[in-house]
Formats: sequence, structure tokens, C-alpha cells
Amino acid sequence: MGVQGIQAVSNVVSGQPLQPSSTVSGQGPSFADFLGQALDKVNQISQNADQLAQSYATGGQVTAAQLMIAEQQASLAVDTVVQVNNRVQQMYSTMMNMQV
Amino acid sequence: MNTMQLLQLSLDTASMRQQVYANNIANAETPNYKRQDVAFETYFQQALENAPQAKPGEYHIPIPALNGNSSTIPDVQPTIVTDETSKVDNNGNNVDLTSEMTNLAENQVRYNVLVQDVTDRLQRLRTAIQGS
Repeated sequence: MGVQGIQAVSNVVSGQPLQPSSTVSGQGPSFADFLGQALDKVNQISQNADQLAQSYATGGQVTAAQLMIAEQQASLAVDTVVQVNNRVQQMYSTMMNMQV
Repeated sequence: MNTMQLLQLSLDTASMRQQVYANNIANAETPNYKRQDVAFETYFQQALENAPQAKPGEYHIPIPALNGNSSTIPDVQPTIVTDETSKVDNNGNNVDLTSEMTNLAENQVRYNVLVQDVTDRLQRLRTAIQGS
């Protein structure tokens, strides 16, 4: 397999040049909706871990591996939420300190 | 009872089981000694599986299945039970050393898994609180 030259960014992203934001506003879910759905998903993953932990503690049909994987998934989800929170705050302070 | 309390109770149970099994091994040669065990998970399974019988003219009471909701966990405490049913030796002792060793190893694995689980949960809470 030969090494290919570096391609333009517009070819990498589905072959279309990046659109300015004014042309895509008003269509698709808003960022708030997207964030809300993501938080719901995190909650769901956390509840799944709760369920598996309860089932394991009460002698249910849950293996140790299943429990550990669910716990790690939940921990990763919480870590991601914390990181998103940090980046949003960072973005806010960056914009507030911007010289205009 | 919430999930954390349930996990603590399970850890207490595993700890109690360790002592009971060690006691069984120590008394493997004691005449007329009957082996003991800790009943905990079986109570849960009975409480979860036995649907309450509906009386005539009543609706069925829904089975309190575990669904991640803390209010559905039945209140069960671990209790030490004496095993009178298994096969008895000539000296009236029913401890099987190999079986007790297996139980001990299994209980240790279970204890470690529970400790790891509690550790993960506390670490997750810490992450959510400290935000880093």
C-alpha cells in the first residue's frame, strides 16, 4: 500500500466544502436538544450500571465481567460530561476576555 | 435501601461468610459439628421470584423486580444457617474440606468484585463533585 499525499480537508469531510453557519441555522436539533439527549444517555448508562450492581449483589445472573464493564462505561460517561462542562466554561471565559 | 447500602450489606455478608467458612474448616475434625453457611442471596431471589398470590377479587400485586430503582430492593439481612441435611461422617461431622476451600475461594473473588465496584462508584461521585 503506497503512501498517498495529504488531501484537502474538503475532500475528507464527505467531499463538500465547509458551509458557513448561516446556511445551516434553523434546521436539525439545536445544541441544547443535543446536549439534553446526551445527558439522558449518560443517565441511562448510569442506571444500567445500578441495575447490574443490584443484580450482582442479590445473587442474580450477572457475571463480574458484565458488572465491571458497565461500571467503567458509566465512569467514562461521567468523565465525558465533566470534560464537556470544563470546555464550555473555558470557551465562555475565552470569549468574555476577547478584545473587540 | 439504595444501591450503595445494598453493596455495603453484600460486603458485610461476604465478610461474615469468610468467618463462617473459616470456622467450618477449623472444626473439620470436631465430633458432632454441623457446618454453617450464610443465607443472603437466596432470600433475595425468593423475595423477587415469589409473586404475591392474588386473593379472589383482587388484582395481582406486581413483582418488585430489580430495575435500578432503589425503592424496589427488598429489606433482607444475612443470617447464619446450620446445614443439617448433608451427609454426615462417622463422628457426626458433615464438613467437607474441599468444598469449604472452594466456597472460601469463591467468596474471596466475590468480595474483591464488590470492593472494586464500590471503589468505582465512589470515584465516579468524586469526579462528579470535583469536576476534574
